[in-house]
Amino acid sequence: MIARLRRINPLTAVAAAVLLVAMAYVVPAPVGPLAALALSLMLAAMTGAGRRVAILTAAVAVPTWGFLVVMNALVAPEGETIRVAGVAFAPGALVPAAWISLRLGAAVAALGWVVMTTPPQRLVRALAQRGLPAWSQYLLAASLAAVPEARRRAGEVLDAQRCRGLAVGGGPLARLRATLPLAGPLMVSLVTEAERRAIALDARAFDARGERTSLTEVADPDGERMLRMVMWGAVVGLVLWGFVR
Amino acid sequence: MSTIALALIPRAVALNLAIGAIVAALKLPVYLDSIGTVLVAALAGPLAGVITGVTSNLVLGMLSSPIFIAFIPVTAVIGVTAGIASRVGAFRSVPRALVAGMVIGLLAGATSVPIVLALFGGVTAGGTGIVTIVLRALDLPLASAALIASVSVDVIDKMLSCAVVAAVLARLPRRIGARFGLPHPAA
Amino acid sequence: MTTALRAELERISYGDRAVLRDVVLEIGQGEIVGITGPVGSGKTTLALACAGLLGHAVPARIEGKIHHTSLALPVAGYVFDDPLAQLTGLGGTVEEEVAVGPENLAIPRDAIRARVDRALAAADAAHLAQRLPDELSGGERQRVALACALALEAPLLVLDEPTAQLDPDATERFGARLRALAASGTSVLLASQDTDLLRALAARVLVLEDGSAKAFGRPGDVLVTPAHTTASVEPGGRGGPLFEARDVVASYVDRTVLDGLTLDVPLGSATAILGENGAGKTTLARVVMGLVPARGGSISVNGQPLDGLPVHARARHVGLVFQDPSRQLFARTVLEEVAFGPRVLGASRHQAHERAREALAAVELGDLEGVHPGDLAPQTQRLVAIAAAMASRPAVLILDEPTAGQDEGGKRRIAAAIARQRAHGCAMVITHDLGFARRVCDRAVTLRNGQAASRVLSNAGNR
Repeated sequence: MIARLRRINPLTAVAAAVLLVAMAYVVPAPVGPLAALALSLMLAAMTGAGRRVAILTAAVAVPTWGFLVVMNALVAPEGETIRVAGVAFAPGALVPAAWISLRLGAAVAALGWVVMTTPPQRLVRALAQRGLPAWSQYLLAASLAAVPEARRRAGEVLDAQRCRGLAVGGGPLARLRATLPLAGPLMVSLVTEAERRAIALDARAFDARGERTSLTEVADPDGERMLRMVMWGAVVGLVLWGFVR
Repeated sequence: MSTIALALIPRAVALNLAIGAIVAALKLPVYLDSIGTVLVAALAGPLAGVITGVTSNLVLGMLSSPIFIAFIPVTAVIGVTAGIASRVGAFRSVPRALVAGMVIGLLAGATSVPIVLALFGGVTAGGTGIVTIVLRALDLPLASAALIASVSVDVIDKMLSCAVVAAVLARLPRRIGARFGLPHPAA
Repeated sequence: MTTALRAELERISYGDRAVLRDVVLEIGQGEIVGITGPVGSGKTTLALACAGLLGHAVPARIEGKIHHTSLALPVAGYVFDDPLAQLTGLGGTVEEEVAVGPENLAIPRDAIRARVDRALAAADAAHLAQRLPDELSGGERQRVALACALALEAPLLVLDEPTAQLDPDATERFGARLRALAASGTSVLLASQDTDLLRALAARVLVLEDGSAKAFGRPGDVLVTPAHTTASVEPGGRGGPLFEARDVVASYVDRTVLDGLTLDVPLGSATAILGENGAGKTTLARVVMGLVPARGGSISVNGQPLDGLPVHARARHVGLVFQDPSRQLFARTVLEEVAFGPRVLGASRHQAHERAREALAAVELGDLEGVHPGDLAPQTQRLVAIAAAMASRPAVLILDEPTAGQDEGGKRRIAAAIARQRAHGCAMVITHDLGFARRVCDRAVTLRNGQAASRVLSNAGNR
């Protein structure tokens, strides 16, 4: 079961995550969000990402709850207030704040599970298998691949300009003025290199609208396809119910 | 879309994600995380701009936090507005670009408010959230507080982004500028 | 010998600018034909045209005929100098990247597998199959790029400066792969500045000059041996050391790179910094600039210690020219670009321009001051970066692999710049190019095991 879950088709994982998000937002609190959060964390734990997903979830949900409490219970208290150490405090704001951050946490946990257990390139390939056009395959895959290089390059530009005497500290105006020598080389080279990147695509017979095959296949058993259809159906049902309610 | 525009977008998406290193070094109170989107929109028009904005947040969603996926409408608005602004010549000079940045910032800020209200109850943890709380303390209604906070942060950010893009376009080599239909910069 | 390609070109132009005129080129099956010529002579244009890549991503007008014997598409595999730009990113791992071409050709899965394995083996990259392209060295990436081109299984392979960014070992390894490929029947068109490489590989070489064919024949007949300067390098070293490094220790997370390095460079000296890949040559430059913190030891210029100074303050004393000029170019004109250093270091606009003109004169680029840096060839951009570092008049100038990809004209300009630097300071030249080191440096230091061993090179200029 667990081994099976680890090899799940990314699209099935996405469908499950979207269903959990819908559950968190449509099924009334506390049942909906709590159940969605619990299921998401369980899926994450079963696929070896429990700790990371829990941390990601807490990092979004807890500060949100804190900010909401500060705003709705302390700074602009609504409804009945009590005095705690001489400060007006609206306890009625605590529960709605908890539901908002719980829903958000459930959504983050559900999608975070997919993100942390699916290599992005595998998701792109699964989408390609379902007919994602060549140009969008390229956009997603090449964007993901370009990030480490761009980060490295930003560091190199910073180094190169500091070696020419550019101080990155200093007053606000000096820092504002340093923006162009730092962002400039990154952006200029991005545009000037586009032509060579385009040549590289042409050189490999890339056709934005053409048919492509694939070296590797992401397994997509019939059972999973059925399950996905059921889950997408449930998502539609939940959303409709949400509108009616 | 031409192959060259297609080849440009992934690098612009990566720039959106990588520019943070430079912003952090400069300790500026902005993100500049749409600067690649604005650049592509200015060079290749609204459609390419939207695609860059949407792809950026999808990639951020996959690499960093799924929360970014919820803000896809905001980056799409930035891409389309910057593309339209470019069509009316907004990036031909830095002062014009500042005006365009203000408009883009207003629209981007306004687009993010319903998302922030629905998902976060009006207050995101961070700089914008603190501004919202301060405005609430001044007795402003929640929606207005969230709108003002979000717009003020976005306006500064997009004004600087657009100014940098205009300066960069003026500095592009002629040969490559011509590929994107830029007028030859005045010598 | 069967002909694989015959090109009879009257003219190729970009817009209204003709870059190539009256060129006839022929490649036999299994033959390696070279194209060479100075920067801007039309090598890349000819290579792109022969690979069938002009007119799509690069709008150009071709007048004349290019006849490929094989009717199979694509007509050629193409490899160029930039190891990263030519990988599409469509595949995650190396083998997926190699598969991108066949996937685009909509070849069935089993056949792709076979092609990828063949291509990786032929490019000497089979062991890299599961690695991520981003984690490879320059030499490894270039072999992966070769595999990507081979996976198209086109009868012709076109390469444009494929070894420009490789060190001598990697270049030799890459050359050996090309020779083996030609022996197995692939026709190869190799555009390169590296006349040694062409001599070693090519059966025939086309020499271009200003867009026209100057000669086409056997390498021994058409390649001129560069006239080695017989004048020996003046011995350097007047007075005490200008640059001093004492017991410098520097390490990255996993290993110590400099381990008690001590090095003196006197006023008037040009010192070559030699050593294998990973010996710490570039790290030394980064430590001097303060980009990598020294864990021990001290560095001083003119008796003044640099330790503790921020990077931008060290720029007053030391100028470092990185390998890739695209990381720093952003100004509208070459003059503004070169004046940037003096400007941020506090010179007035007028003064900065004056110093910039002086520095441009040192690399003989005075006539380019109004040109956009981005419109220049990468090799010329490198010369602009050297001028930009010299314009701040640093006492110490450090050049990292300055001659990579340069033609004879470029090398001569770099040599002139180094000679100029020696007049009022000293230079350190990190290089793999021993010939160039002998030509411009009066002494050499070899880094090994994190330490430096010195020797004098003077009077070796004619070797």
